[in-house]
Amino acid sequence: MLVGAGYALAAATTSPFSWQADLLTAIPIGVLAVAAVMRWPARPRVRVAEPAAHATHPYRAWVVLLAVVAAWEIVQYAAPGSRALHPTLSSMADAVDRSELRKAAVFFVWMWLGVAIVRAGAARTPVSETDGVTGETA
Amino acid sequence: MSSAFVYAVWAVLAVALFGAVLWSRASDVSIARPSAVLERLASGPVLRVVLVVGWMFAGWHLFAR
Repeated sequence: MLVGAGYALAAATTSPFSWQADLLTAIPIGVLAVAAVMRWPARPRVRVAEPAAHATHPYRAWVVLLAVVAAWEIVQYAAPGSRALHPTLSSMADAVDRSELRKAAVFFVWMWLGVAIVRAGAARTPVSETDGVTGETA
Repeated sequence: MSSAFVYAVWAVLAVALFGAVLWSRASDVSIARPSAVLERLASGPVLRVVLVVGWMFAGWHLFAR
C-alpha cells in the first residue's frame, strides 16, 4: 500500500508526453500483463453472481448505466464546440490531474483497479466455495 | 446545450453509479455487486481481454498521452 502510494506520487510529478510519464505508466501495465498471464487460468470458467430469488438479470442495471455513460461521452466528444462547452471524461480527468495530489490519487485508484482485476480473474478451487459466486462453464 | 446542462448530466450519472453501488449492497436485491461484476468480466475468455486492454488504455490515455 505504502509502496503503491509512493509510486503514484512519483508518477503524478511527471508531465504527459514525457518519457518519464511513459515509463512510470508502462511499468504497471507490464506488471499487470505478466501477473494476468501467471495467475489467470488458460481456460477460465465463467463465474456469475448468485442471483437473489427474484433477480433474473443481476448485471442488467450495470450494462444500462455503462451504456448511457458511453453514449453521453460519445455525444459530447462528437458535439461541435469547445471542450469547455462539451466536457468529456478525459477533459474532466485532465482538470483533476492539474493538482499533483489529485493526480496521485487517480493513479493509485487506477493501479488498485488493476490489482483487483488480476485477483478477480485468478483461478479459484473449488469454485462452489466462492463468496456469493457460482461456477458455470462458458 | 450549455456546459451547465452537460455537467448536470455527468453529475446525475455519477450519482446513479454511486446509487447502484449502494443498492447492490442491500441483502436481497436484483443487482450484482461491483466485485461480482468485475469477477464476471475477469472470468470470461473474451471479456477479460477487453477488461485488461481497457484498463491499459485508460492508464496510458490519462497519464502518459
